[in-house]
Amino acid sequence: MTTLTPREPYSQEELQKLYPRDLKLQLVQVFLRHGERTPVSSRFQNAGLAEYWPYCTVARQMIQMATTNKDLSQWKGFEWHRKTEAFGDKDEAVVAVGATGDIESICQHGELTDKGRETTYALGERLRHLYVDQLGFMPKIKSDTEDMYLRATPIPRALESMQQAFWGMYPASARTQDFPPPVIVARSISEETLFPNEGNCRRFRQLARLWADKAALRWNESEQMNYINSVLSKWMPETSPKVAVDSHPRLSGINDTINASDAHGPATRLPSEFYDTKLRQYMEDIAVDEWFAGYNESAEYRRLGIGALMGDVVDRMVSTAVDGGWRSESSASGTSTSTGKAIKFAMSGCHDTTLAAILGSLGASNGRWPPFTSSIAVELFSRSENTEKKPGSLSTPLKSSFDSNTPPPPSETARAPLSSLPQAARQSMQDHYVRLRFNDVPVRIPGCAAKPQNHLPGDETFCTLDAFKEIVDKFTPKSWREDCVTNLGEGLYGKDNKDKSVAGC
Amino acid sequence: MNSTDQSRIIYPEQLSLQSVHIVRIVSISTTSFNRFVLNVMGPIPDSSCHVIQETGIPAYWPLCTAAKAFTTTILQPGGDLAYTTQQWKRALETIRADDGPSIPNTSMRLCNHGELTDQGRRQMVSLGKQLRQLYVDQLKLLPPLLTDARTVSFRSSPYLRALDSLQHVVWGLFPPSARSASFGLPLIVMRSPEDETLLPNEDFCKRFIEMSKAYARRTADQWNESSEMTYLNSLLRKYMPSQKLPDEFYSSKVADIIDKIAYEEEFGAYHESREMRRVGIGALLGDVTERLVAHANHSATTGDTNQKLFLAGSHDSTLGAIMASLGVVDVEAKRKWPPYASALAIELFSDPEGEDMNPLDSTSTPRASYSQLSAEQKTRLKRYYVRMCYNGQALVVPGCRRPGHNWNGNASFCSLATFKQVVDDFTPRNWKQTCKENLGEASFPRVAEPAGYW
Repeated sequence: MTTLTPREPYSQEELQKLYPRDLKLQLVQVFLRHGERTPVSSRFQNAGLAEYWPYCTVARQMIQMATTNKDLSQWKGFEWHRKTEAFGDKDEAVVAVGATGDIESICQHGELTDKGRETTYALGERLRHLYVDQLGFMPKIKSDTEDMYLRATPIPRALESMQQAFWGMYPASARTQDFPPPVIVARSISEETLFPNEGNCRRFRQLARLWADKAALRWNESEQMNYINSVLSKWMPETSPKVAVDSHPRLSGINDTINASDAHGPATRLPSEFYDTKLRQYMEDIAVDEWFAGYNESAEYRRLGIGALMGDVVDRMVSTAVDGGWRSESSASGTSTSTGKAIKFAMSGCHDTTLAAILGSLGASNGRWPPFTSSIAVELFSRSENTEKKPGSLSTPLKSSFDSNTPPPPSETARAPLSSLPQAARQSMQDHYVRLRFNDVPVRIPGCAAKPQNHLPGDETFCTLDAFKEIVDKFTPKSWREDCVTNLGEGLYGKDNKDKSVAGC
Repeated sequence: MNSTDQSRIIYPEQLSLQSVHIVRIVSISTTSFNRFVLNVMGPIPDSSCHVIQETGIPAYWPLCTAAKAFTTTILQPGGDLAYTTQQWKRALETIRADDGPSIPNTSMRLCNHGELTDQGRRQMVSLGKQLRQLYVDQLKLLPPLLTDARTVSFRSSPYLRALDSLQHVVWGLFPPSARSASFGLPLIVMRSPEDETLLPNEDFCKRFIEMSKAYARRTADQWNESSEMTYLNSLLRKYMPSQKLPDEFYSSKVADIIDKIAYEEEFGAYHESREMRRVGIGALLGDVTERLVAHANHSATTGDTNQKLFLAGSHDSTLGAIMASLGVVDVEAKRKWPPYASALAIELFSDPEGEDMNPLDSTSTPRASYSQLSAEQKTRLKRYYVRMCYNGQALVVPGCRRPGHNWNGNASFCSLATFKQVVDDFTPRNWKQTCKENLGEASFPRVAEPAGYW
């Protein structure tokens, strides 16, 4: 699967079952994989695959802001268009020609294509249909984004996808004329936890290599790999004719090129054998095993790969449930420290690795590689009779109690282990439910389903916030940066195999 | 002729400026790495890398107000692909010790690592204005109002700070009021990272990577135990809480030592190794020279529509490599790391006194070396001269000093034929192939191959 085929909107009947009347939706956090993109590097030109893909019409009309006066009071849009240059036969510079003979709209590697823009925009429209039209959870018209938290990784396609989705959810007709530019939260790449950050977490990088080695051992001589080779090895470079988990290009890279090609037009097709169903099934199985098996089996892999993000996800929900709410005053997404709103909707532009890590760490992987524009919605509900939140069972809610020149203090419940929370907070958390929907399908988390007190009577996909936090706490790092340089040189399951543990319990 | 005369920039009345190539580096950007390393490579005994927080430099600099005014193009699906632009603001979130998000009050002015700062943007606009004053107002090489897209050519590396810098220069040079409605959107040409030659390609050129490592190792061996390095360590090992780096970092002696060692590590190789010149910067200079030669061959046919300006947003590594490879920094004292906002202009002049010839009807011959040119083509180059200006100073390619290789004894005006032969000497025939050759071979030439000759 490369392009997601979204299911049709929920019927009235489904809606009633999925959103029971006695539960009130409080907070939605959506994580979306970016839309269709070009391959991240050039492969299989020998099989006739064009190097330059003409699917990025945005190249005809790009815009960036430039300041034009000394005091920086004026910013103007510098509009430009982009062409791509390449080597000619004699090494001279020539204009790159795309697969259709066009020299405009040429994509860069890993760039969000027109198709990707359309599908992410459509995702935004579907979110609008559900959360605005069907559930009335979010307002029809927006005059600002104070009740939202928009965020993206530093990879342009993730940011652009999130923006496309946001504008799909709130198009011009759903925004007031004085709607100010929304705030989008970003992080420095060294502190980025919105994806498993191999580049900036040494121990995670080691672990990823160990899991890749394990997958190589398991699969390189397998029947499945033999089949893959019987189809593809003739297209491999002469220097490394055998496809393997760790070949050049790697199996996961080959898979990525096939998926990107499959998602786009006829001008960038590979020979038909690349799309052989059995071949692709095997390749997906192996790639999923190489990249994501660690989440199912190792607490350390979960902790370093996705634990810091899940820690944030839970903190926000706990804050909403017991601590006066996750509010814009205390979030980077807010524009004012005095007149904020409770945040109701978070949207984060991220990656396949983010989504697979979230599901895998909760023991809820479906064993597939997340298609483009996949999304996970993490929804928080409260029992209706409990909707009036008592202001801060733990601390006074944030007002302008802090100086506007200092960062707002963190909530007292942030990163607090479950056992340290007072009984009142625990009670409130048992009255709140968390439910994940992956591409509109409710996710079953084993630890929530296991015990009746951990889930809503009659529906085990609604996990009590208390039980959900208990599961996530087990792989939330105390300090991600420190954990990233701990256990260096240890094996697959850490020191003395201490980190060997099954996900989602 | 003494060197001070040669380094002054003059535009002789007898010569007509034909075109200019400007390769500039990006302006002030925040430091790309969030640590300060004192030695060239590997840890120094008794010392360790100082992370910036420890030396008092904030990890995030609130110097990027552009974060309040970002704009994105949004595709609105429908029958006709329609785009709309949307503004947004960026807030940079940081993390606390316990991993939770932390929101500095300057969140919306914080720079990401390596991002072009406000000051950098201002500098770039004023550089654009200076270029306008020189090439539009004074020399009239470029028209006050741009109407023909072929007059100019813009190019950027894939780094956002280079692209941002280029756009600000263009804004200063040709603001919208200086572009006709028919001019359309400025075109900026970019390359895929594995084809990128606008800077020494340390990601995709294997041999370049290998040689760079060898030179870095050599510099480390030479300097890590030196008295200079000991001096640096004696001063900089401690740290102080302050907004700026402690004063010691800025002492001229310290700066000179750091500059000298860093220059040697990064650019020393271009001075002595032809292969380094070839893998590092030869493809770019090959392109530049090819355009100069094409201009000489075709100017009469294409007349005013000829390209007059090539402007490239690039990096310190580009400028340093060009200058070292052409031997224009042969004097020890001039071996300096290119400062922010540096610009290198390569200007082409024609001498109207020279023999005027009918245009050649043959199409261009890309990458043909000087020796492969026909007699007629060679003759044609004779009335053309190349001059390089770097931050207000004219540069001299050593091979152009010899009588007969420059304009009337002024060595900073190098005859195009000579300049081409100097560049031919290290232009790769096939850069990608060259990058794969000699892997595992020695990185240092047996005898030094001085730059700037052929």
